[in-house]
This record gives sequence, structure tokens and C-alpha cells, in this order.
Amino acid sequence: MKLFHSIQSRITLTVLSFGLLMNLLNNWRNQQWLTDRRLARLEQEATETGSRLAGLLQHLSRKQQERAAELEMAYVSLSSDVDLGLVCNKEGVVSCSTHMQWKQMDVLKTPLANEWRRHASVLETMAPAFQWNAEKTSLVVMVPFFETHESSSRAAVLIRYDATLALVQVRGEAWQESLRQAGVLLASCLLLWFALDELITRRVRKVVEILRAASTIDGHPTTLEGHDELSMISKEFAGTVTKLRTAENMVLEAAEQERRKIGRDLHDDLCQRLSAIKMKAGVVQGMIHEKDGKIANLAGQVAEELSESTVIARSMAWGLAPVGIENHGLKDALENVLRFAEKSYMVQCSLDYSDLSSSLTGSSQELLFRIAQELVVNACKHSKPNVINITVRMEDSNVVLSVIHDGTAFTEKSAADGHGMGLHLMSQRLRTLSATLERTIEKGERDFSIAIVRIPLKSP
Amino acid sequence: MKDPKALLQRFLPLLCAVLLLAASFSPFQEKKSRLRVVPGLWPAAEAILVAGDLQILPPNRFQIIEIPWSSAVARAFGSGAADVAVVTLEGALRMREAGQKLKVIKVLNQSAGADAVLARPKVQRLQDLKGKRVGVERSAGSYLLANALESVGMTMAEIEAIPMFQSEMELALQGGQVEAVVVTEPWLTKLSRKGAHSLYDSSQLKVPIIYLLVASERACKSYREELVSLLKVQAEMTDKIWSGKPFLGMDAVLRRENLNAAELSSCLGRLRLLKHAENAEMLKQLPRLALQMEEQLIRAGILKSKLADNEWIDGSFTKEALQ
Repeated sequence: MKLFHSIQSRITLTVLSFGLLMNLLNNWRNQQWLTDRRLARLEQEATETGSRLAGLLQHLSRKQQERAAELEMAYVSLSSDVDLGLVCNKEGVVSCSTHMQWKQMDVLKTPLANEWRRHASVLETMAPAFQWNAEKTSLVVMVPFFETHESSSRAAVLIRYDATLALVQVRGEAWQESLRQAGVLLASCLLLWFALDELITRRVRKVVEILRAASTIDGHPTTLEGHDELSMISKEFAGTVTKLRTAENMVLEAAEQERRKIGRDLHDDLCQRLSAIKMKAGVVQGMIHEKDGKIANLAGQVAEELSESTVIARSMAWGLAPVGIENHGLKDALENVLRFAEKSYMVQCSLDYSDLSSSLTGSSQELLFRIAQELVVNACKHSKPNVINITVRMEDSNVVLSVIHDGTAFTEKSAADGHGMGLHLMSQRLRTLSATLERTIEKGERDFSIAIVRIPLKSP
Repeated sequence: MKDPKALLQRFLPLLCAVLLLAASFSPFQEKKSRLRVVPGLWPAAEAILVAGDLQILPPNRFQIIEIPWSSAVARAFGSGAADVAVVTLEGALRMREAGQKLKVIKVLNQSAGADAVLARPKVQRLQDLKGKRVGVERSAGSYLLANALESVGMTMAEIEAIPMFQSEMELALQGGQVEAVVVTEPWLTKLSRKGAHSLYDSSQLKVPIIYLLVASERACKSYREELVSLLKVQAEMTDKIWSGKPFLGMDAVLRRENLNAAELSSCLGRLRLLKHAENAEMLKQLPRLALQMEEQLIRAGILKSKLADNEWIDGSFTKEALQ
């Protein structure tokens, strides 16, 4: 079961299992102790009763008060452990008994015949005898006394104690105590389970949520409250994520700078050189034309190819370093993107632009431009729109970029299955700007897909 | 409404904590001991004694304690050493007067000559006892003696009542220490065997001597199942013993009562066995009979004052046992 896979359940079950094992061991130990104590008490009671009764009966028989002796025997039978008690003379005649049916009977016809035979020597030695049976469930005590002042008038008190019921009771008490302890253990384990759930499991789940949130676009690393280990982990993690993002932004910025450098180099050097060569090739074509038409024609082809190479190099340079942002601002750069889309994808494009040059830094404008470029190109590629509009405006304290088109609904995530380079880069850029991306569809005669990027302006 | 799971998660730990405290501080429940029955040694109680001998009453649930003297039985019951006892109605009234909390749960027998005033041969009439010494066991024979004297217009003050146990009466009567004794079976048969003759017996009483099975209030609350079993077994054994035929355990009865078979039969004949319906009727009549006996005992100075009219009869056990 999934429930038992959690640390919380495993700890609780381990404690419960160990506790139950200890409980069983304790029960065994308790039973031993209670049994020993009960048997010791029984031995003590047998010794005391036998001795007291022998002394008393010696006195009563000398006073010829047999009835009082009878009563004494009756009181002996009040003990719950006494099985049978007899008072016999040396001839074996029962003078008193806890069970009146054996009175005046021959002891050898009573249930204590074997015990009498076994301890017959007591009447010779006049020393009391105590003996447990092999199972230690039955104790026989035989205490001698003199009925009269004659040394030949020997008699004995013979009592058999049955410990079976007492031992059953002792075991029952031990199990009762064990059950009570098991109840305490079970309730404690349940409390432990709830405590672990509150202190560990729920907090671990929060840490996992924080980890998951950190990997998403909108994920902002948060921390757990408190000062425990899990709280420390979450704080360390948040710090690490922040450092990673800073490093990521630096890498992004470095890449942009490198792209700009390459673009400028292409534009300023290679493109100028190609233009110069192209012009020279035109001049060469004019000069040769008059003398040799074939060579002039070839020179013309060289000039055309150089012209095309120049256009390609310029495009590459523009793609790497959109000169419009630096030289003419974000508006021109976005117009260039739209022109590119019109030219490449035959889409009717428009731009609504509010001047934001004072609100965004150069690098932020560049990141915004890249996001817009990605959104427009993705829309053109995957949604096949007829119309695209880019709007850039201020809304409250946010810079809002909207890309609206009438193509099929599309999200970068579904197109690239969440793993495309374009999406990854866009996510990085959005994160760097602390921006959010929202997508909606406006229903009407024609459906319009709208991607809205909101960039919060940092308060001064 | 809040999420039930969240509510459960909030209140379950609290419940666990309460359970934990309850389990931790729950008092130790001592295991219920055996039901201690003190039937006394009279034929009316033989059904219980035989059931004990034959272990029809299981020894792990019942402890049958044989105490030969009725006064000792009352003391054992009063001190809490016994839970159930067989006593006469007179004995029950005395126990109630002593403040013992008991409930009569069954009427066992009615004495129909099993109690008598026995006298030495030279004493022929009750009137001859005037100024004489009469042996009586206070807890068992005072009522009969008072009635016997009242029947000839005498009072207890006109004789000298000597308290003694029934087992002592044989020697006392033979030795001339007393002129008469008040005895019950089996001593009645034993003394008659030795030549004593009856001046008055229980068959002449207006309010008969009734043998009752009484249980302590504590036993009535804690040992209901055992008490019902005891009554069932007692009823079964009574039918066997009073059938007039030899029965299992009869030899033990004869040894215990120190009687032969014929004497036992005669002895049992002097105890009127009550059928189930009669038993129920007798339980209903018991308050009235007790009141009459109480008045007589007060008149004879045996009871000091009127007993409190509290609940002391519980017929539900018999009813349940006989269902």
C-alpha cells in the first residue's frame, strides 16, 4: 500500500512493532514474576495456616473442644486456594475436615490418602512437611501436633492447596496489563503518526512543491517558515536557485552581446567589403562590356551574386544584432520583424506602438524584441495567420506587449512539446524580465489568438 | 461545510490523546473471583453441596464452603467472606437487623417438622420447661422456641435459654446440662435416635420456618450469570435428592449428615419441597410472612425493633433460571 511507503508510516510501524515485541517480552517476564510471587504467598499461607492450626488444635483437643476445632477448619476452607483439609490422628481417623463428609472416616479413603502415605514419616519425626507437586500446581502441608499430653497421642493437620485457579488468574492479570499497555502503545503510535505528518510529511511535501515551482516559468522560490532542517533546506535551495538564475541571465546577456558583436562585425566589415566588391564588379562589367561581351556577362553575374550575398549577410547581421534598437529604437526593430513576416510568410502586419524608450533599458528592450520576434515567427510558422498585429503600450505600471493574429490557436509548449530551444530561451527571457505570458482567444466572426506579455516596471 | 478529511485530521489526534490518557490511567480491573457459596449443613442445602461434590457447579466459578454452624454462616456472609448463603427466614431477618445487605433470591424448602423442641424423657410437656434450661442456637431456633412457649401461654422469660451450637446439644442433653433443646435436621434425627422426644415441631407453626437462598447485593450485581446457574443446578439436584431414589453423590450426603439412607429419607420427608409455582407464590407471600414473624420476634424480644422496609427480595433470578 502507498500509505506504508512514507517515512512517517515506516517510523510509526517500526516503533509499534518494537513496542509490541517489548510488550510481549514484558508480558512473559510479568507472568513469571506474578506466578513466583503468587506461589510464594501460597507457600507462606500454607506454612502459617498449618502451624497456627496445629497449635490451636493441640490446645483445643486437650480441652476437648472438638466443635471449636471444627469451626477452625471451616474458616480454613474460606481460603480460595484450599482444596481439602483434614485433621487425622496417628491411626488415620479424620477428626475434622473442611468437607464434612470425610469426618470420622479413614484417611486412606479420602482424596488425601496418597498425601498421607507420602508424608507418614511426619508423625515419627514430628517435623512439618511442605511439598509441591512436579507441575507446581498443588501444595501439600502436613503439620504434626500432640492431641493430649501423651507423647503417643500424635495427630497432624493435612491441607492440600490447589494453585491452578490462582495461576490462571495471575496469567489473566498479566494479559490484562499487557493489553492495557498495548492500548497505550497503539494510541501513542497514532499520535506519533499525526505528529510526524504535521512536522515532517507536510513540510516535505511543501519543499517538493517549492522544487516543482522553481522549474516552471512562473516559479518563484519560496521558503518554509521555522528554523528546522527542512526550513534550512528550503532556504538553501532558494538561494541556489536565485544564484542560478543570476548566472543564467549573465549567460543570456553574454550571448546577446556576442551576437551583437558578430552582427556588427558582419554589418560593418563584411557587408561593406561585399558592397565595395559588388560596386567594383559593376565597374569591371562596364569596362569589359565594350571589349568582350562574354566576360562582361560573367562579371555581371558575379556582381549579382555579390549583391545577393550582401543581402544575406545584412540579414544575418540584422538577425544577430538588430541595429534598429540601438540606432532607431524598439519600434523600428519591431517594424523590421513585421516586414520580414510580410515578406517571408505573406502576412498582413500592423504595429501599434507607444514610446517606451524611457521605461525600459536597452537590454530589456532587446529582450522584449526577442520575445516579440519569437511570438511572431512561431505564429507565422504554426498558425498560418492572414493578419498579425503587435501592440506595445503601458498599462498601469506594466509594459504590455500583445501579439494578435487570426491563425489557429497555438502555444509554444504544445508545438515544441515543452522542450524546444525557442521556448526555453523565451522562458529565460521572460524570467529575466520578471514577465508573465498569458494567452487568450477572442471569439467573434473570426477568432483571434492573443499572446500578452506583461513586464513589471521596477519601482525606483 | 469544512472538508471532512481536514476535520478528521484535526480531531483524530485529540481523540487519540484522550484515549491515551484513558488507557494510561485506567484502573486495574481485578479479575472476578469465584462465587463463594456457604450453604451451611442442613438437608435443605444438600442440593448445593452435592452439586459442589460432583463438580456440577464448576470449581473455577463456584467455591462451596462448608461451615457447620448457622451463626458462623451468618458471620461469614456478613463479613463479605461469602456471597451466597442458605438461611432460615428468621436468620434472614436477624441478618437484616444487623445491617447486612442481602437479597432473597429463592425459597428452598418449608420445614414441616424438620425443626423441633426435643426434651429428655422426664420432660413430657412444654409447661414442664418453666424455669428450666433450654439449649437453643440463637440464629436458628429462637423463633420456634418462642412460638412453642407462646402456644402454652408462656414467654421466653419463663425459661432459661442457653445459647449453644446444635453439635453441642447431644452431649448437653445427655449430660443433663439442659432439659430440652431446639434442634433442626439432621440433629433432630440424631437426637431422636438417642431417645429424645419432641414437645413441639415446626409443622405446628402458623408462620412456617422457611429455608431461603440469600445473596449479597454485590453478588446480585456482579454474579448474575453464576447465580442463575446456581439456581438451575440447585433445582435439578433437588429433584434428584427428593425423588426418593438413590442418587449420585448420596454416599457423600449420608457421610456428611451422619445418617443412614432411611434416616435421610425420613429427614427429607420433614422438609416440604416447593414446586416452581409454589416457590413463586411463596416469594410473593414472603413480605407478609416476614412481617408476621418479625412481630412475633419483637414480641419475644429476639428482634429489637421493626426492620426498615427496603427491597430485600429479588425473584428475577428464579424467574430467569426456570425459563
